[in-house]
Amino acid sequence: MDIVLVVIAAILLVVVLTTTTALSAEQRRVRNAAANYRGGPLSPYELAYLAGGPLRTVNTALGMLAKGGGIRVSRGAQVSLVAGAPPSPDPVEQAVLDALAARSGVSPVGELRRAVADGEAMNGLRYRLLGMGLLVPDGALAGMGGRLNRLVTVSVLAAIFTIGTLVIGLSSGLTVVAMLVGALATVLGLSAYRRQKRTLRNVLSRAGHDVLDSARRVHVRGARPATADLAFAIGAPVALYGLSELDDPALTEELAHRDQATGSVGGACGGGSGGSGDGSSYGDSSSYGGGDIGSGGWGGDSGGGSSDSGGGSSCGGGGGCGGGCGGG
Amino acid sequence: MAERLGVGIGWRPEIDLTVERLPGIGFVEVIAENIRPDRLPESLRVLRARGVPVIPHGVGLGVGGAEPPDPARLAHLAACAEALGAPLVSEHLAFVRAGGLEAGHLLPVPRTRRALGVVIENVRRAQDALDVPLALENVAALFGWPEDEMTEAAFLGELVAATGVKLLIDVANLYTNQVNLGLSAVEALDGLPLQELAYVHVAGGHAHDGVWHDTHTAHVPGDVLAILSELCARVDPPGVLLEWDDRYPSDEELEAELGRIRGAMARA
Repeated sequence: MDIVLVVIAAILLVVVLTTTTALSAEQRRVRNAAANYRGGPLSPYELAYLAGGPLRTVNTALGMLAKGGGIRVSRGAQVSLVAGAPPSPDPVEQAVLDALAARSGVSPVGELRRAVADGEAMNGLRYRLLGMGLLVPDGALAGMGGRLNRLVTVSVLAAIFTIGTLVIGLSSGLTVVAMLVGALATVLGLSAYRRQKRTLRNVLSRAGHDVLDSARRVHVRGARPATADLAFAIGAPVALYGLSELDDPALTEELAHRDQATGSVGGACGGGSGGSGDGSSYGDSSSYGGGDIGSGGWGGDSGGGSSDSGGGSSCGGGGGCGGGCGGG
Repeated sequence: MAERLGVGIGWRPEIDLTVERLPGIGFVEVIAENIRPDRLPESLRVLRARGVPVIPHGVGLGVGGAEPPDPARLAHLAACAEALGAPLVSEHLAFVRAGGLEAGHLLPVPRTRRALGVVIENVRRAQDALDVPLALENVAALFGWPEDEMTEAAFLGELVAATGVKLLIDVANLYTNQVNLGLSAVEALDGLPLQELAYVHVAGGHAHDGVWHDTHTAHVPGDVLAILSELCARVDPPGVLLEWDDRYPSDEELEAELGRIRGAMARA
C-alpha cells in the first residue's frame, strides 16, 4: 500500500514537471518565431505600445501634443484643441485631434484616452507591430491554455494527495516519502502555474523585448535630453517610462487623471482584440514604470458661449451675459 | 491714478495653466458670475499666492438699467472682491435686462440727462455695497439711441464727476463703435476723463459684412493697438488686459500677443 502511494506521488510530480517544461518550450517557440523587424529606430508611439499598450500610447501622444502646442491641458484634467494648430502627420496624434474635434474641441482626459485607445489608429499601430514580429500574434499562445489547465489540475490533486497522506498518518518511511513528493509536486505546480499564467498575458515577442531593452539603454529613465526634437526629448521617455517623464509636474498631474466615470481605465475599456481591456500586458509588466496610467498589464491597471454678441460688447466664455460669461 | 497693474490677461478656466505660465503677467481678470467666492478655482488661488492681483469683472449687474442693481448680484461682487483680495471690481456701463427680460447682451445706455440721473443713483448704490473701488467699462454697440443727448465721453465724464467711479476703457469697443457707428475713437479718448482710468481692455474680433464683431477670439488688429497707443500717449494706464474668450491659440501666440500690446504701449 505504501509503495502505491509513493508511485502516485511520483506520477504527480512527473506530470507537473513535464507540463511545466512543455509550457516553457512552447512559450519560447512562439516568442522566438521569426520576426520581420530588421532594426532601425521605432517611433515613440511604437515604443509606447510595446512598453505600455494603447493607454501608454495615447498618453505619449497627449504629452507630445501638449508640449508641441497642438492641444491645451487645463486644470480639472480637461484637454482642448489649440486654435490654428495644424493637423498631425502621425495617425495616433491625429486620432487625438479628431476625437477632440468630435467633442466640440474639449474633453475630459479619461474619456479622450479611452476613445483613442479603442480607435482605428491604435489598431493600425498594433497591426504594424504584429507585422514586424514585435508582438505575439493573436491566438499564438491560446493553445497553451489546455496545458495550463492540466498543470493547475494536477497541482490541486497533488495538494489533496498530500493532505490525504497526512490524514491517514505517516505510519512508515514510504508514506513520509510519498507525502514529501506530493508536497513538492504541489509547490512546484502551483508556482509554475502562477508564473506561466502571468507570462502568457505578455504579448511581446522576444524581438519586442529586445527592441524595448535597446531603446531603454538609449533613453535612460530620468535623463532630460536638451534637444528641440520633441520625439527624442518627450516622446521616447514618456513612451518608455510613463507620463512622469514629461518633466512637467502640473501637466503630468492633469494628464494622469483617473477616468472619473469609472474610477479606473482598465475597467472601462474592455474587449476588442486591440482594445484596452483584454487582459494583456506589455513591456512594463514587471515594472509598471513611470506612474503612468496604463503603464502595465490591463488587468491590473492602476488607473489607469462662445463669445459673443455680434458687434456689441462681447460676453464670451459661455452662457449669456445675465448668467455669467466672458468680459466685454 | 489707480494701483499699478501692468499687462494682464483675462483668466478663463480653459487656459488656466497657460495663464499661470505666461511670463510677465501683472494681473488677471475673472468673470465674477463664473466663480463662487467660497470655492475659488485652484488656479486663481495659485495666482493669488504669487501676488498676482485678480479683478472680478461683472457682466450681469446692469448699472445702466432703469431698475436699481440687484442686491444679491452686488453682494456676490463684493464677496468675490473679498475672497480674491481684489484692488477693485469692474462692470459695464450697460443695461442687460428690463421688465424681467434678460437681453443676453451688453446694451448701450440712452445718453440722456434723465438716464444719467438713474445711472448715477445706480452707481452710488453699487459703490455703497462694495468695499473696493468700482470701475465701469464702455461698451461696444451695434446701434445708438435716437434720443442720445451727449457723447459717450461726456456721459462718462459727468458720471465720473458725480460718483467718483473709475474707468475701464475698452479700446476694442472704441474701435467697434468707430467702425460700426462712425464714432471717432481718438475723439472719444480726447473727451474721456482718463485721469480716472483704472485699466484698459484690448481684444480682437472679426469684420463681417462691414460690421466689426468684438468676438475676443482673434488677434488684436493693428487699428485697435493704434488706439491703445493713442490712449497711452495721453495717459500712462495702470493696467492693460488682453481679453480672449474662445478659440484659444497656443501659449506662444498668447505670449506674443501680450508682447504686441507692450509694443503698442511703448510706441506712445
